[in-house]
Amino acid sequence: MAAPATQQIKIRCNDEKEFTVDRDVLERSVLIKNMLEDVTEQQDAPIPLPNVSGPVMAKVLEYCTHHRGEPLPSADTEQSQDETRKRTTDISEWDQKFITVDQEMLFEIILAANYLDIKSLLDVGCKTVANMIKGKTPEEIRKLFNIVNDFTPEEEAQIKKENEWAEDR
Amino acid sequence: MLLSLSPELILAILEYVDEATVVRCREICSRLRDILSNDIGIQYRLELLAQNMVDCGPLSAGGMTTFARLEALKSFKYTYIPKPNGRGVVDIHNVPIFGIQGNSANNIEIRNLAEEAFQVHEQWRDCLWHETPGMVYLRRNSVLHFVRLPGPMRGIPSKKWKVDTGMNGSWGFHMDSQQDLL
Repeated sequence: MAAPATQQIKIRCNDEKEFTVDRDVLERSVLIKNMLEDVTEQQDAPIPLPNVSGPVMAKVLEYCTHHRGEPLPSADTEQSQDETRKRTTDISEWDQKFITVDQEMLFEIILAANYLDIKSLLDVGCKTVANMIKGKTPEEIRKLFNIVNDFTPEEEAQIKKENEWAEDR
Repeated sequence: MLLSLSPELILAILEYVDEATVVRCREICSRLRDILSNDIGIQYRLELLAQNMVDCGPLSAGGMTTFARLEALKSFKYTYIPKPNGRGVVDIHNVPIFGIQGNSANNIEIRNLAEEAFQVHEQWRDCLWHETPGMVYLRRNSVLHFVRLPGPMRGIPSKKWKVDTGMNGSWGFHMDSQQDLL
């Protein structure tokens, strides 16, 4: 592990912004980890990341640097699917501070974490949005995320009726 | 921005949200309604809520898919739940088959047991019904009849027995759910 840990990797974002990062930090991203494993010889050309912008990548790298060295989640997806119901929305103190960003950045981080395949960061983003939604009325959620109510009055009445059963639960 | 996420990411977020909020999310806009209506996992969660049940564990034991669980849950509901007897609703909530493997043989076994119990009930119109998780029991005069529904995953077999209390007339009893009924 010692040799790859010190290796420096160059990446290039979609706004031409380039970063040079320690390999073990970048390998928090399963996407990049797999890319690097596929490349056997030393490469000087930066890895292009067409779906991520410089400012978002800077945020993501801040997260990856803080969490470097931690074990990556296992690939046992079936198990984790079963665990979902028991998942809490607790977020560690550092992560909480890290993810306190404006809404646009929050969703950009979620998209980047999904694209780069950084599961723990994706979870932090999803939990944060979940905490924003929880316990709110439909109108409050619309307002929060600038969503237009595109239902006809008939459709709206229909859904309200379908949802009645759940009101007291 | 929320709506710019893919359905998969929106559903990933809703994994962390309680069911009551999930239900309300259907009222926000048509895109969210459609995403929620088309997802088996969401349907299963809401069906569990509607039937006051919980999913109790990993798939690893039986490999029953979420879709199969949903189907089992639905067929269970439509077969049994709403049978009022005039003194309360017969209600076999929390039968420990759901979220558990439950192959078709087990389902049929439960169906037969419950069917039998209800038939007995039809004949004995003066009996009293009670409900407790995983149990069906009824009373006629001094005799209590019990049917314990099977829980395949936990290895609980079905069992029927009766107790003659020797007491006629009006009386009651209760079961302590903290006690091990096995």
